[in-house]
Amino acid sequence: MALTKKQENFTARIAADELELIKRAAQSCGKSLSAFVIEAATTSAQKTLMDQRFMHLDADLFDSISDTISRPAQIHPELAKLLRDGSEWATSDR
Amino acid sequence: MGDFRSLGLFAPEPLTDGHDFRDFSCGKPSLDTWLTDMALHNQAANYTRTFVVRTKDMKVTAYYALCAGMILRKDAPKTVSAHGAPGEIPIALLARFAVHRDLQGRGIGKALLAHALRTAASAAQAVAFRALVVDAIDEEAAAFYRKLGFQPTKISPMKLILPMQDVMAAMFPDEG
Repeated sequence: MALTKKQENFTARIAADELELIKRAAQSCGKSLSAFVIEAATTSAQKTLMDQRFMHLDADLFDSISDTISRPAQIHPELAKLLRDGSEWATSDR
Repeated sequence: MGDFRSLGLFAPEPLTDGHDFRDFSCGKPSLDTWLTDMALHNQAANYTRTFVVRTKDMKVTAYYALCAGMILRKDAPKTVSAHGAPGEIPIALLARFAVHRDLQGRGIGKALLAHALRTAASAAQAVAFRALVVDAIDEEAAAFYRKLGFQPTKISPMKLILPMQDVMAAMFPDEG
């Protein structure tokens, strides 16, 4: 993430008191306003997406997923290799 | 597969309050804080099931979390949609998946994913769901899942799906 080039821009309107709150918080942990906002929003976005248990999809998206799960089984060589012998944890203690 | 015993690692087991995960660090703060702040609560509340790899002194070195989910078709008729498919697809969600930064690159992730897939396959025998879904945290994670058969969806290249029949076919290649 740290190596990602930052070349996009984003602007947003914000209420004065909210901006003041965020500035104070950023300052309190020694971060720039941008760094603080981006870090917080990124963490929140990751959490939202990873926690997404219910996905309400438009018809075309739903149907494409439905097609994927309805087709005959496919053999994925790497997956087959991984699951074939079942010995990944055989030598580990339990 | 790597010999994880030589690394002092125990086979994956359900998370309990006997595990020490305070110092867990995988390089992604959102995956660290979920383990330290949420995992045990979610385990107790039956929201997610977390399995951990640990050392002899109970330090967690890798973990994953599974829960049930549903993909729903907007505006689907209550009964059956036009071409006969139901408007909902029950899924298992691989909600979190992380390996401690000190142990990355040794095949632990692959072996832990194998455990997650076996757990999901076993659960699917009792409670039907059709696929495993994961939201990859970055391109490196997405590439890891793609290599093992997960397919990017039209929702996003980072939202990937692995149909259960592909897992079963990989586990039981002779029963095709």
